[in-house]
Amino acid sequence: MTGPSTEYRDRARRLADHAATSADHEVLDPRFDPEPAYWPRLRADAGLYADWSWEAMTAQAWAARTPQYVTVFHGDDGPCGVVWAAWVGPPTRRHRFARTTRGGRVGGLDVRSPNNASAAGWWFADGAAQRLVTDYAPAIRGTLGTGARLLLARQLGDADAAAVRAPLRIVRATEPISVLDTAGFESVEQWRSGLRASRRRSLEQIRRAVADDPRLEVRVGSMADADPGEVAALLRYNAEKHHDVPIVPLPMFTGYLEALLRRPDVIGVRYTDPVSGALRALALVFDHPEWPVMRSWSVLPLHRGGRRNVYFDMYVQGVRFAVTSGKRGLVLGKKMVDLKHTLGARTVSQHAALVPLR
Amino acid sequence: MWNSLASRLWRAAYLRAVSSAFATVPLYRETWALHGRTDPVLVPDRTGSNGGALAADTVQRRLVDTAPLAGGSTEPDPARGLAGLLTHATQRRSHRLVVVVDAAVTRPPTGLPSGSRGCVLHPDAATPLDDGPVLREIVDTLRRGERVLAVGEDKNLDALSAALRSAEPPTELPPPDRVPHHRIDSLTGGPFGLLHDPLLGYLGVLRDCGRWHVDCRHVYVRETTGGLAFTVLDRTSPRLVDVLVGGGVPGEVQACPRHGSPVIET
Repeated sequence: MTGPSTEYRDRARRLADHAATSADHEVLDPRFDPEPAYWPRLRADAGLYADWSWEAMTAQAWAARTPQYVTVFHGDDGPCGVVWAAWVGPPTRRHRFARTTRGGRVGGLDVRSPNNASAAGWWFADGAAQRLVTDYAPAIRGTLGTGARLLLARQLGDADAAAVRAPLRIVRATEPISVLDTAGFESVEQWRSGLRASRRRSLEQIRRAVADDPRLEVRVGSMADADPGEVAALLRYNAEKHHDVPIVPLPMFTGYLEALLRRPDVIGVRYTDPVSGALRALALVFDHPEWPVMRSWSVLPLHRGGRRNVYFDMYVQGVRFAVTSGKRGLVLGKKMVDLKHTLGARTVSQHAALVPLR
Repeated sequence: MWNSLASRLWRAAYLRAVSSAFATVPLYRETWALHGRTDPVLVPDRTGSNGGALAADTVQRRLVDTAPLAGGSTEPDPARGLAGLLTHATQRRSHRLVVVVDAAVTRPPTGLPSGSRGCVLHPDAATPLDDGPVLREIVDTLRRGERVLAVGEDKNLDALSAALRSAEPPTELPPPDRVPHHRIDSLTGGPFGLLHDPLLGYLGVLRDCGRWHVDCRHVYVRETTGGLAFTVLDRTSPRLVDVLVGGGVPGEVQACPRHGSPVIET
């Protein structure tokens, strides 16, 4: 058994040839292609979260069920657009990682953020979602071939969904995300004072309980010193609760977390045992100049040292982080819409657009 | 006879285990894809270190990723493989009770021959003052004249023997048969012995030729620059592939001149 060296080299040559002839865009495979020199700048310009760091995307792409491609568009002043998509086709298997070559002959492109269901998987400098159809689809088909027959774009807002115009397109509303605006608050207390009385009382009780627990310490900050294996094991408890979808997303594996947690823009809300140092609960926040996103949450089961109600305290810590660092707000993600509404969050509707490609 | 065909089949089983691990088990997928391995090559131009073998403590830290995507346990079984090696480990064909005396072994061995039962005894419980159910069961079995086999480190087996000698009421009990197990960095000359690792379980046995035979039906071993790397060939979970046990002990894999099957020399 040897690796797919011949196939890989053919593919690499084809991609390189294509990139050379298409000065306005390039299609990259994070598994094999090195990080482009412009990538950190592009990430900053586009406001892409930590999961778009090349190192994290490389780890994520290797441990994915489908091949994944990053398409970058170049303008006169540098990169002006980026789209991340997974190739979904017949070879895709639920319990196997992607083959080390591209997908099959026929398939579709699933445009989404690399590992984050709360953010879009595309960015154009002019914000035009229609470019997914007019620019992106021809570009990626030029590289992968005309076997790409469908384009599924997810996490489209109302305006973006309306902007995606194509014959036979199908647009459907998907699960909304919750967003908590914090720009108007000067302190956590001010935010809390605006909540309804029962929620306010409950948060105060939880705050006191957490503060009085000698076996619980709360730390908010960089995750660079965290053990990725321990974090992966903890996050797995929560991931296993969410198997209510037809295709269960893969959890975050240790290698991916190793790359991710080193990022300075990954913040952890850690609940640890000060004696043993063991993690009891954790929220991962992807930092952003304006809209940090609460990416993951997990708590140990009670019989393994978990603690009731720290889930609510996690939101208090998140709001404190957003208020003290001057953010516009916090993206709280999908699910638990009613509960998040009691914390003052608003819902932002989301759509998915399915576009046949011809 | 360990001929070239058997050797090729053994290696083919290993290559299937590697291929399956790369395709379905997150730990190996990430490690080999991001850092590489050399034997067999899975990702071109990435050579990795130790031929892709992983230190046992690295695997232990990342146990959560050792289950394949289809699911499975991430809890290793330190008694894995014991039943299959017992026929070579002792002169008796079977025992009524097989006791593993080791702090790392928390579950009784499975797959024992019919008529045999397995149990585990924590070394701290192997004392004359202890009146635990396992010790009582051992005493009762010996009093009935049935055979008991004790497996564990020498010092733990000595402690068990001492505890049985002072058992109440005082009667002359026949001693249990004993087979010491050893870590790979402390292999001795026998006459009996098992090669044990707390993560991978039982890997080999000292046979009457005086050589350490690998359990080649269930385990593959190869030489790497980091030491001997062991692979559990069964498609069980957790998947343990190319693990440098004992921190990586240098050694050689050869064919036993008497039995023809693979043996290791450290």
